[in-house]
Amino acid sequence: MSNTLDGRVVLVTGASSGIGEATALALSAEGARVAVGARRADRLESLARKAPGEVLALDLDVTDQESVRAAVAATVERFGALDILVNSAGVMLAGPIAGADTAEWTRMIETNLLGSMYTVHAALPHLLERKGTVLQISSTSGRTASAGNGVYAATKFGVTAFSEALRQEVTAQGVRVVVIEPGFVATELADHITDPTMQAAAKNIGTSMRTLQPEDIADAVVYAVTQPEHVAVNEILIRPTDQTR
Amino acid sequence: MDDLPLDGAVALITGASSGIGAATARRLAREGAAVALVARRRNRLDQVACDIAKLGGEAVALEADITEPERADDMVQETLDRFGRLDILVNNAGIMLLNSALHTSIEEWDRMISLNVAALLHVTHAAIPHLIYAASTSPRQVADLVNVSSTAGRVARPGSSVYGLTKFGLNAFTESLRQELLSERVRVSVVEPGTVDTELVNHLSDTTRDAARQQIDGIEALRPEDIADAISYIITRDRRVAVNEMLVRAGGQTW
Repeated sequence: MSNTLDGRVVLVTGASSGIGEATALALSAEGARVAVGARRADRLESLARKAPGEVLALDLDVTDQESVRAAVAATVERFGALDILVNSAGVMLAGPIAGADTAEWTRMIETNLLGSMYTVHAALPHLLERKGTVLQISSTSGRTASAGNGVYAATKFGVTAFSEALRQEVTAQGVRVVVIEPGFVATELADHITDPTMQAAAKNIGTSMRTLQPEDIADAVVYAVTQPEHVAVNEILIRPTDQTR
Repeated sequence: MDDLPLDGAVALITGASSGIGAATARRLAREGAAVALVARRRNRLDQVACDIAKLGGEAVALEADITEPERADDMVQETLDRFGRLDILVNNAGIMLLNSALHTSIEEWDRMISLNVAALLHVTHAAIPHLIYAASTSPRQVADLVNVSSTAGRVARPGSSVYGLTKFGLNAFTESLRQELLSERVRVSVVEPGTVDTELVNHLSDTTRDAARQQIDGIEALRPEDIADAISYIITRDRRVAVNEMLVRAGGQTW
């Protein structure tokens, strides 16, 4: 099998588990040199051991602009360039709006929305140089809002809007922007929900259908980033076959 | 050929005489599907069928104008007569007559509604029971309905009022059907291509065609095979994975 990403340099945020981890491994298997960032550095070491190719593990807190700039700089210093940015870091602290702990809102907006904007901002000069790709892991919540999911949906709608504006700005310069919108994936995402009703609802969804696996999303990422230059896969909406909303 | 992902599956593709339809037919045949090719131009269909046969695939050319409702129903029946089942429907046939509302003829609007909407509905309505049956009986345990929409189904622009109307409508139809059919294990998806190098612009008047060509000048258009690849990606996923929507533009396409 030919390694279609031979030598390409990728930075994956939120790489310590779930979609980020699966994506980092899949891109490594395609021949990419992969920088992986997350706050839980111990989890990154085990990812680095599992990956077939070269991996650079980075302490990264996407809510901290200094940390983001340092991670991009370290990636470029180690591998000499940056071709693909995968924004996978995200938190979903679902719950109703009335009576919410607004500290959870701040955390979601800082991680999902501002965090992904900071990484794009820091990475863009390098991506422009290489005619690279920005790949955003959004959500079906970026397409449809539902009760109990207002702020998470707001962050993902925001990611979509930011990505479309970015796409229009950088397309002529050869940078491609991809938004992937997964439905329910078996990850830790729902484990951090503090609202007991929402936590139970998420668990229930997880057992009532054949959920997607992180590898299914990693596969869609690989599909998008291995297309020839004249093909821009701008959006992939991907749900479990059993998922209605 | 036992190891191909679509081995044993039967696909019906409308607008299969050229462009995305022909490329998709070739591609699905290569993945192991038997394909029914529907279009008006007999000689072009025969050519596609012949190409597929040469590569060891199985294809039947069905000449029809599916804007005639009974012919649309016939296409599903003839596919069943020939291959015994229907696992995959690709609604690809479409026409794009770009023009301003002021200068267009109502006949141009009627033609787009007739093919992009009415014909698609007739074929789909006839196919649904057979797709459900295929999903419950085939080794794949899933069936697929893929609609070929357009970026014009996401963003409206001057000159594409009715083309956009048909494609926005198709997107809504797709999403509603998706929700209705998911419990039957029929996956319903929509692909939204940007600028593809096909005959779609050939039907435009000289001035609109020149304008359309000028706009795409300088960018490398998608090839029909690129969209066939996206359709194949959707259909060949594991049965738990439903790729509901893919928006695919040409690399340099800003709009």
